[in-house]
Amino acid sequence: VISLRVNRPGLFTTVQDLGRWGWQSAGVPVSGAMDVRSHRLANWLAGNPGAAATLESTLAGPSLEVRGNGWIAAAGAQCTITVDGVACEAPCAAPVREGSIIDVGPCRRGARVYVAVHGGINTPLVLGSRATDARSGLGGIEGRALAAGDDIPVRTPRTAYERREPPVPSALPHAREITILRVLPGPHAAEGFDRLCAAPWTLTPRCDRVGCRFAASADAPHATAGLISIPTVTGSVQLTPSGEAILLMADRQTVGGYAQVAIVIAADVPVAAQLTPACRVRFAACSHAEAHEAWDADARTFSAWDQEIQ
Amino acid sequence: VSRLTVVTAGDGIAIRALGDTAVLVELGTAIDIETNRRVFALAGGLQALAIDGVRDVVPAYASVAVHYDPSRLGRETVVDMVRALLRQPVPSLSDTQPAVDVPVCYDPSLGPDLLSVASATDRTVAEVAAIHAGAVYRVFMLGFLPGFAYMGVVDSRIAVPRHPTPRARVAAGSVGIAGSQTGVYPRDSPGGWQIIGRTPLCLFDPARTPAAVLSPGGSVRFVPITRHEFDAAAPRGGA
Repeated sequence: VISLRVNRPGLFTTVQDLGRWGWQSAGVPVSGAMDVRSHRLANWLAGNPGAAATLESTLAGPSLEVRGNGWIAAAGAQCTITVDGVACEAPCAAPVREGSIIDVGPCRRGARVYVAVHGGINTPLVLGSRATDARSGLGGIEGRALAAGDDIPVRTPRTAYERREPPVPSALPHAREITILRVLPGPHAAEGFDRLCAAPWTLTPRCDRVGCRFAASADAPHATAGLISIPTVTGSVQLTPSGEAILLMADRQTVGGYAQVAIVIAADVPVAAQLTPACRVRFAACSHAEAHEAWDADARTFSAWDQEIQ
Repeated sequence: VSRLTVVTAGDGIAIRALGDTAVLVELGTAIDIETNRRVFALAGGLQALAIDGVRDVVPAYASVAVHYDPSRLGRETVVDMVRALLRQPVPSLSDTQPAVDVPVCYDPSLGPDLLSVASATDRTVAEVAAIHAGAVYRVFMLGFLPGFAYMGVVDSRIAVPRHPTPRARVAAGSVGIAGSQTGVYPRDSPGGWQIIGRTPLCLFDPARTPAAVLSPGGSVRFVPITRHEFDAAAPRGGA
């Protein structure tokens, strides 16, 4: 595939990779795929290393016209992808040719779908990454979400495509169920870690790549205002003075002044990335040992996938 | 049971886990130059070591975060490195970099809050500008947006609090005050600081090296310029 032409951009579709690390001291957010697991899976299915750039779509996906020939793959939320009218369910891979139309349907469960192209998206590197940070105007296509008419360049693959069997899709959050996110105590745990974990929280429509806002409840802890700003981390759960909880995601600011009472473990951040408004979440305390075990399990899978591609 | 896994390192310094992929070193709880110099020394020391597995070192007012890849580096190793660096002396003041000059046009047409700041502090516009430009500021940290520097300490005579409700759009280059802090917006963005002027300088450009004009631990002088000089220097064409 030489490039993808955007016929319909979808609700909010951006170019993402594993993030813009090393620049937080200059105030540059890390960004990168919200659901790293699905981003890597889409890449593996498309025959790419995990670091290749993909398209991350939100709730309603894009329609893309292909220039050239090759393979695409999709993974993430439950959704139907059609290539020239032939449907497949994510996670899946499909061949494409000159003029093919890829249509990424609406998410039936979950929020984000990753579309990978064999070779990888080839927009320019900005500070070492192709990730789009729309708030800062960095990366991707002119630092913004895709628009109709955009042409997205694709790299020439270095290896022949090998078809891989998609794994069983992982569980996705649903509004009728309670999603468990495992947390470690944050630097301001004294401001309400126990109460954060005591009852479920409901996601408001105010959720984007910067963070997910959960509605304040009557007995929600109200954190202190006017704390000195400290560095943040993806997965930080901040309590605001008005009693809301904000879960910081990929485009989070590098420093923040709200109380960080808990931190969602890295292995559960991809689950949070698939939450939709009205989903209920229970934050469950876990140990550092459990967090590390979960990280290790993911890391083993990812490195096995990458070794296969080499 | 200590759930916080806090390691104390003397001098009121606390080292704790910031989730499972970062460590937070708290060197103090207040905004002061002495603490911030220790922050800068520690962050610089960690960056200079360029340790495999450290993904980012982030200095703030009184703390430093070390983001690491748990597959390549254990938390204990990170904590040990931090403790070793904390035992080293903080460089003396003479080691710090020369001040960066930032030209600012203090004109009500470019500083929408300049007149109200003047009246709130019972001073003329010229006095507010002279007091703001009359000090050398320290860059305590960068954050909020790429290249946005939190600087201090603003003279108490003009240290007005931020707006209770942020403006939807503050123009790139806007120079603001929020209490004892001052800063420059590197790009158009929402913002709540009191805007008293604007610089034609581009503070952040990823295509340039370094991308950010201001860096943590650096010092800054604001140099007043006329509206004519601003227009001549600003490629955007001003207000």
